[in-house]
Formats: sequence, C-alpha cells, structure tokens
Amino acid sequence: MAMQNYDAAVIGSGISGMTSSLLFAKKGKRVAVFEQAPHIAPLFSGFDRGGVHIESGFHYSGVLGKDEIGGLLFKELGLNIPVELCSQDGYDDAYLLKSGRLFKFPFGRNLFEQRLIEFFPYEKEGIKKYLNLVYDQLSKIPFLNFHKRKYKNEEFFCFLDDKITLSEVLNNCFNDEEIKSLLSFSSVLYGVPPSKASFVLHCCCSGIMFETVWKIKGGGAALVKEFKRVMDNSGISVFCNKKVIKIEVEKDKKKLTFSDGSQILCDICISSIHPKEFLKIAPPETYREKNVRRIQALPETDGFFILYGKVKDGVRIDTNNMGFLTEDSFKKDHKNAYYVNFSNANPQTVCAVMAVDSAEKLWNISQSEYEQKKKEISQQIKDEIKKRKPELLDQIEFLGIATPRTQKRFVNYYGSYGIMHAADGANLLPITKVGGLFLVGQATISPGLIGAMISSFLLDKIVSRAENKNA
Amino acid sequence: MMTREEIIKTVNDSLMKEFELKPESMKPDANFFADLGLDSLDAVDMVVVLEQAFKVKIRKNYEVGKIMTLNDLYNYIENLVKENG
Ligand SMILES: Cc1cc2nc3c(=O)[nH]c(=O)nc-3n(C[C@H](O)[C@H](O)[C@H](O)COP(=O)(O)OP(=O)(O)OC[C@H]3O[C@@H](n4cnc5c(N)ncnc54)[C@H](O)[C@@H]3O)c2cc1C
Repeated sequence: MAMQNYDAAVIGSGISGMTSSLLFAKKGKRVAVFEQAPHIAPLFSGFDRGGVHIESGFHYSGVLGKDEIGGLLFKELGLNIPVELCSQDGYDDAYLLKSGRLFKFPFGRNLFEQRLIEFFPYEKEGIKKYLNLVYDQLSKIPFLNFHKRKYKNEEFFCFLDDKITLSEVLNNCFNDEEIKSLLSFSSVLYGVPPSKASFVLHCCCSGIMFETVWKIKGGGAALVKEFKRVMDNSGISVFCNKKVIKIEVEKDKKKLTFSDGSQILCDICISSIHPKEFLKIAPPETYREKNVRRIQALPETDGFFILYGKVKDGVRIDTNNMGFLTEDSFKKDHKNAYYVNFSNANPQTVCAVMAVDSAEKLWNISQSEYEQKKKEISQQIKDEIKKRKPELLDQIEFLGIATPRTQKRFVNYYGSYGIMHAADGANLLPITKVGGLFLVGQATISPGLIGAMISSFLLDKIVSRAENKNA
Repeated sequence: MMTREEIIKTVNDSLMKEFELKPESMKPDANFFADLGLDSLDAVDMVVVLEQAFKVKIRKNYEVGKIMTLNDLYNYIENLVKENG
C-alpha cells in the first residue's frame, strides 16, 4: 500500500501546532497533525474529575482584546473566541507576609502605578522607572506589535535575546525587598527564576498583562473546540495516539515513523514538541554538532505539583491566583513557590500549585517511591496553606493530584513550560539546517498562549519570504 | 587599516567556513536568520569567529541586537575596527 503523502505534517497538537496547521492550510497546503496523546491539545483541554472540569494549561492571558495582538491573531486565523475581562481592580492576590498586607494586582497603567505607590510610597521613583522600562520594552518587541505595521517584515527576523535579567532591573529600580518579591512573583507563571529570566522575556510573558487581563469563556477547552472547528473546515486531518518516533529525509521528502510502526511522507514537517524530544527523533543534520550540545544543555523549567479540587457549595472566591510572598522570596528566586489558582466556572474549581524540581530522574521512579513522594508533597502544600490561609482548607474539597509525571504522559515533558528561556542561554528559532523542517512552540519565542501562537506566525513569515524570493 | 572590501571578504570567509554557507548566498541584504539560516545558537559562534578574525572584542549591547543583515554586520565591524585602530 502506498504511504500517505501530505504537503505539511505538524507534530504535536498544542496551540503552536494547531496555529501552524491553520497557517499552512491557508497557503493551500494539505495538512495533517499528529498528536501522541489520546486527545487533541491535551495541555489546553483540561480534564474532568469528580463531575467537574479542571483547567490545566490555561487560565488567563493579557492582550486578547479585539484590537490587541492576541485578538488580532485569533481573527487572522478565523477563530471566533469569546473573551471577557478579569476584574480590573484585582485579578491576582498577593499576600505580603512581612507587612501582613494583601496586594490585589490591578491592570491598567495608572491604577497599577497608584496602587504600587500607595503600598510602597518610598519607592515612588523606582515604580515610575520600572513601569517606564516595561512599557518601553513592550513597544519595542516586534513580535508583540505585529498589528501596528510599524515594523518591516525584516525586523521580525532578529534574535530575541537580551542579557539583562529581571533581577538586575528590579535591583536597579528598588531597595525594598518586598516590592521586588511582588513584582517578580509572576516569573513563576513562565517558569524562569528572576535571576535567570531576561527582562525581555518577563515583558513578553508578564508585561503583556499590565494593560488587560482576559479569560476565555468556557476556558481552554472552548478555545480548542473553536480551533478544531476551523481546522475541520480547512480540511486539516488530526490523528491522535500517533507518537512520532523518527523523522528521516528522503530526497525532497521527509518520512515520519510512528510508534505503531506506520509511516507517512511529507514535504514540510513542523515540530511543535519539546526541543530535546525533537533532537531524539530528528535527522542528525538538523543542527550543527555544537548546537546539539547547546540544546541538550538547556535547563528545564520546574515542574508543577498540583492538588486540584472544587470549592465547596456556598463559597465563591473572587481572584485568579493567590500567592504568598515572604520578604526573601525574591532573593530565593521564588524557589518552591506555591500559589492557589481558582477558576471562574460553576462549580468553581481550584488548583493548589507548587513548583518542584522537574529533573527526569526524580520522577521516572518506581510506583512505590512515586506514591510516597505524592504523599509528602501533598502534605507540604496543605501545611503551607494551613500556615498562611487556614480557612481555605475547609472551603476546598480536593479531588486528586497531578505531578510532573502526569504532565509527561500528556505532553511528553516534565517541566511545566518545557525548556527554560534563560538570559545566559541561547534561544531557539523556528529554523533548522534541514530545508522544510521547522520547530515552533513555547521553546522558540516564549511560553504561554501568545508566545506559542507568535512562534507559528513567525514561521509563517519566514516561509512566505522564501516563497516570494523563489517566485 | 583594513579597507571595507577587506572587511567584507574577511567576514564572508569566516562565516562561510564556520557555517558552511555558499558564496552565492552571501549577499549584502541577506538576513542572518531568514536567508542564511543562522539562529541565535549560531550567533554565539559567529561572535567567536569574528573576534578571532578581527582581533576585537564584540560586546553584547543594543547595537549588536540591531544587526540583521550582512550589510549591518559589515558596518558594525567597520566601526569597531576604526575605533580600535
Ligand atoms: C499548569 C499550567 C498552567 C498554565 N497556564 C497558562 C495561562 O494561564 N496562560 C497562558 O497563556 N499559558 C499558560 N500556560 C502555558 C501554556 O499552556 C503553554 O506555554 C502552551 O500551551 C504551549 O503550547 P505549545 O504548542 O508550545 O506546546 P504543547 O501544548 O506542549 O504542545 C506539544 C504537543 O506535542 C505533543 N507531542 C510531544 N511529543 C510528541 C511526539 N513525539 N509525537 C506526537 N506528538 C507529540 C504533546 O503531547 C503536546 O500535545 C500554562 C502551562 C501550565 C503547565
């Protein structure tokens, strides 16, 4: 029997894989997506337990308004995504344990600036300086300004790596340790400690939440459903339970082999998987030897240990995340940070999250060791909550636990956000040394819905440029 | 003092050797990433070979971040060589 032949094959059906599939279909290509998990977009889809839907890889995002970059990218993909603003007066709660205060993060520059000054009047100058730096950076990053037409296409083809870290910027602006802890807390939400995160990355992931913060109505699953609808309409085939174990170059084609032994051919192959997993299956000529070593040396983000459950009847908690900050959280790089995340669904669900080491050897262990570890870390999280906000324990009914090992099963990597974008490391771009073999996803631009989509749009620009040159 | 022609030749030779690039791809408006297929992993080695070829120190700063085409690089190196010379 002849092998199936596609113009473009996408490996992985996360946000970046789905976005790429639509962009290649728009170019008139016959596209197929191959996903190792049993369902499409496992990270964004969440899961059902005890009769409730638990959100996993998506809670909220900045810039999803219809005139903002996220909304415009949705539109360009033909997606109709219903979004709603979070509470402007406080979308996240940070408990400042040293001064015993609750800081509610507002969005909108004036509100944010006023509140920071109200809490830290002696840091007024630093606050203004810091906000200026963030806004200046946000206006300069071409990827976040696709829509402004201010940039020539050329300007997207730059190396987005800045060596100034978030810690350096905060130390430069402030003396007070509490405000540094507060303003670096969101680094937990992209997995890079402040001493390693470049300031540019911080702006790409957290700065984009300074102006607006949005929820998607129906959550991550609703977004996936809308993607799937448009993909179906575009004639894109999606195959689940299809783990790619090898990519080979055969003349002008690429041959993909799956774990079930089947094979397909394609002209263009777009990988959206973890770069280290990609190295394992890609042909040897994909990267120069020196770069293979650099990729292998990229550190992994911490994993998440998540106690999930539902908020009991009659209780409603009006925030997205509750974080607990000590005076030295910043100095300790938010190591083992924990936070409690609440959905706005009905019934309301909750995830108590703790960042833990994601090293493969720590989680690739025997069942009995694993059970023991689950018990220990669960208890650690409960103890922390009991210490900081004991009433929460009575308001929540825990239903289960997810660990880096659970995540590995669903998305094939242990670290919450895959590889770490460290300021002193190299950043990957969508190109490889093999023509027609590309890499997209959170490893290339930045983690998050926006970063994952932009990586695919960037690839689209590169491919379009090459087509125009050859035409 | 190196002339611009010498600078261009040295840059091109160094990059072609390190990255196995073809002479015909070395056009002044070639973009490193979209045309020459060099990514930011390669940028590290690019700095090393250029430092060796020109005996200069290339500091990572804002100006370096703006280098996107071969021509940008020729200009940058030309200035650097002038400053050092
Ligand atoms: C707990 C958690 C909460 C988060 N919350 C938010 C949030 O609120 N807002 C936000 O913007 N971002 C959030 N993120 C980050 C965001 O979810 C990710 O950055 C983004 O979804 C990554 O998309 P991707 O396409 O790069 O990768 P992925 O979604 O990981 O896609 C890669 C896909 O490839 C598949 N795959 C892997 N190997 C193979 C193979 N060999 N063959 C076939 N398929 C393969 C995987 O199964 C996976 O589905 C969160 C992440 C986590 C973990």
